[in-house]
Amino acid sequence: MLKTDQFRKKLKIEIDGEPYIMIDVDFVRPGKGQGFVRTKLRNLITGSVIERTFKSNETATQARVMDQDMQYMYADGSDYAFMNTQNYEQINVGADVLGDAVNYLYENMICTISFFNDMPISVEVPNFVELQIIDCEPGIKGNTATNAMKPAVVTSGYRVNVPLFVENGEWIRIDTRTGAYSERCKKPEGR
Amino acid sequence: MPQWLGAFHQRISIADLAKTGEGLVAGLAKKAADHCAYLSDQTGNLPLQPVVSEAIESFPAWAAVYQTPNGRQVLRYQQQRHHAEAPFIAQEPDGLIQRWKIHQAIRDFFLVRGFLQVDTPLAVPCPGMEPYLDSFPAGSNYLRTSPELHMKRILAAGIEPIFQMGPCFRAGDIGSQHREEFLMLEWYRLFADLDHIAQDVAALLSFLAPFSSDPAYFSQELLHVTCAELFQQFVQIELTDHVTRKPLRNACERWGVHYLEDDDWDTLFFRLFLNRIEPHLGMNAPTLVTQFPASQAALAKKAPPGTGLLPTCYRFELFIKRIEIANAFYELTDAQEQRQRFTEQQEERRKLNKPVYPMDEPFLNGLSSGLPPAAGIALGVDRLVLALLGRSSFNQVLPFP
Repeated sequence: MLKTDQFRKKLKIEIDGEPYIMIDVDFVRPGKGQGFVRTKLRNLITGSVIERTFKSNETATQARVMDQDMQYMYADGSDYAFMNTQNYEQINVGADVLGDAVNYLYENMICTISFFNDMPISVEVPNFVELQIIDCEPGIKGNTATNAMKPAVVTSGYRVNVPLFVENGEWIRIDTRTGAYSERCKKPEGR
Repeated sequence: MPQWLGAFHQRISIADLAKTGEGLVAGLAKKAADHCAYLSDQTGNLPLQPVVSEAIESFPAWAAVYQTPNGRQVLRYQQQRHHAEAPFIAQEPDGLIQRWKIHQAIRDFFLVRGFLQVDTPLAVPCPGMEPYLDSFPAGSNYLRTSPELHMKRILAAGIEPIFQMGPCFRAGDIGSQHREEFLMLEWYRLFADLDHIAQDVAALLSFLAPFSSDPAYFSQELLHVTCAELFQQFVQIELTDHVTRKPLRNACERWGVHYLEDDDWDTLFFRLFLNRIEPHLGMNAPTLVTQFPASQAALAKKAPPGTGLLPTCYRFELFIKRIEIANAFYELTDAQEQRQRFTEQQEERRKLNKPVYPMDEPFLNGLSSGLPPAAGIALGVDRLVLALLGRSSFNQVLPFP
C-alpha cells in the first residue's frame, strides 16, 4: 500500500480494478484543516483522465504494471501474435489493445507491451517506423517542390499520404505519433 | 581590470548621471522587448548603444558604465547565470524586484493607515493547537505555525491596530501553493468586526492593483458568498447542520467525488469544496467565502444558532482566481470557551499520535483580562504575489523555491 506522501508523478496505482498513472500530484490544506492530495490520473487501459482527491494518509494500491519487449509474429483475424524475446512464450493481443499501433506492424518488429496483472493493456511502437509502399500511383520525376500529396498503401495495410515523387516499392519513414509520412529512406538491414 | 574601475566608490545613480553627464554607474544590463539594451538601477534606465551592448554576450548581466564627455567604457561582470546546473537564484531579477516591491507596498499600506508593525517570537512553546498542523521542533520549543496567539496578547494589552509580516512554518506542507516555510501577513483591529477587515482587504487589493498583471480585477468590489450558498449552487444540496453525513455522501456519489466510508462531516465538506466549489471561486472578482460551519470555527466566535440553518461562525476566507489567500476571524474573546476548544484539540492531537502542546496560559490570561471585540486576518503573502503576478506555482515566483 502507498501512502499519500509517497505519491508522485508517474506512479501507477490501481482503482476499482483498473490501472492508472499519476500525471499530476499537488498537496493542498484548506484553511488550517486536514491536508489533501489532489491528483490527476490517466487510465492506462482507456486513456481517459480523472481527478481524484485523497485525504492525507489515505492509501492506494500500487498497480502491478510491467513492460516487456515483445516481437511481432503474425495476425490471426483480429488477434495479433507476439513472442517474448526472452522466454519465447507467445501471446495474442487484441486489435482494441493495439490501437493505432496496428498500422505500423511488420514481421519481427520489437514493440514494448505493458501488462497489468499479466493482461496486455497497451502496445508501444517506436516514434518512427520504416515501411515499404506496396501500392501507389507512379512517381512524378523532379516534383520535389510542391506540397501536393497522393495516397499510398504500405505493407501493414495502412493508407498514408506521400509526396508525388515517391515511387511504388520505395521505403518510407512514418512518424507514429502523428501517423504522417516523414521521409523516404533506404531499405533497413535485415528486412 | 580597467583603471577607471578603481573609482567605484565614486559611483553615482543613473538619475544623477542624466544630470551631470559624467561618472560611473552600475546595475543590471537588460534587453527591452525591442532588443535594445539598457542598464538599470533603482533610479532609472540608461540606454546602451549597440556598439556598447555588444560587449555583453548574455542578458541580464551585471555591468558598469564609465561615462566621460568623450564617450563610454563598459565592463561586464557576470554572464550566463541560468546555464549553471544549480542556479544560485531561481527567478529573473525583474520578477524578484516586483515581489519585494509588493512586500514594501504592503508595509506602506498599513503604516500610512496608522497600524503599528509588531514582531513576535518564531520559536514558541505552543506553536498552534490545530490537530492537523505539524510544527518543527526548535530546541525545547517549536517554530510557530502562525503568530496569532501572540498577536492577540498584544491586542489584549490595548495596543492596536497592529500588523506583522513574517515567516511561519508548517512541517510537511509542500505543494504548488504550499511551502514548509512561508511569509504570513496578519493584521488585527480592536472594536472591529469582519466588515472592517473586509474593507481593509478591498482597500489593500486595490492599493496593490498597479503591481498586478490584471489591475482591473484587483480594483473591483469584493464578492461575498456564504458556504451554504456555494453548496446550493455547485453541489446542489442544502447544508442544515454539521453532523449529518448522508447528504454529503450522496452528493459525492452524484458528482463522482471520491470519499471514504469513515470520513467525518468536515472531511466530506472539504472533498466537495475542493472538487466542486473551489475551481469556480474568485474567477471574476476577489471573493469572500463567509459563514463557515461552526465545526470549522478555529479561533473565531460562533454565530447564534438559527433554526433549521447551518450553525456557523464569524469567519471568512479570501479567494483570488481559485487560490485561497487569507482567513479572517471575528475573534473568540471568551477565555473559557477558548480553553474548552484547546482541550478538545489536545485530545484530538493525542488520538492522532501527535505532540500535545501545553495549554497557552499567557494567551488565555490575555483573553480573560477582558479583550474587547476584535477582528483579524492571516494572509499568505507568497500566494498573494502569485495571484498578483498571474502565476500558478511557487516555483515561478519564489527566489529560493
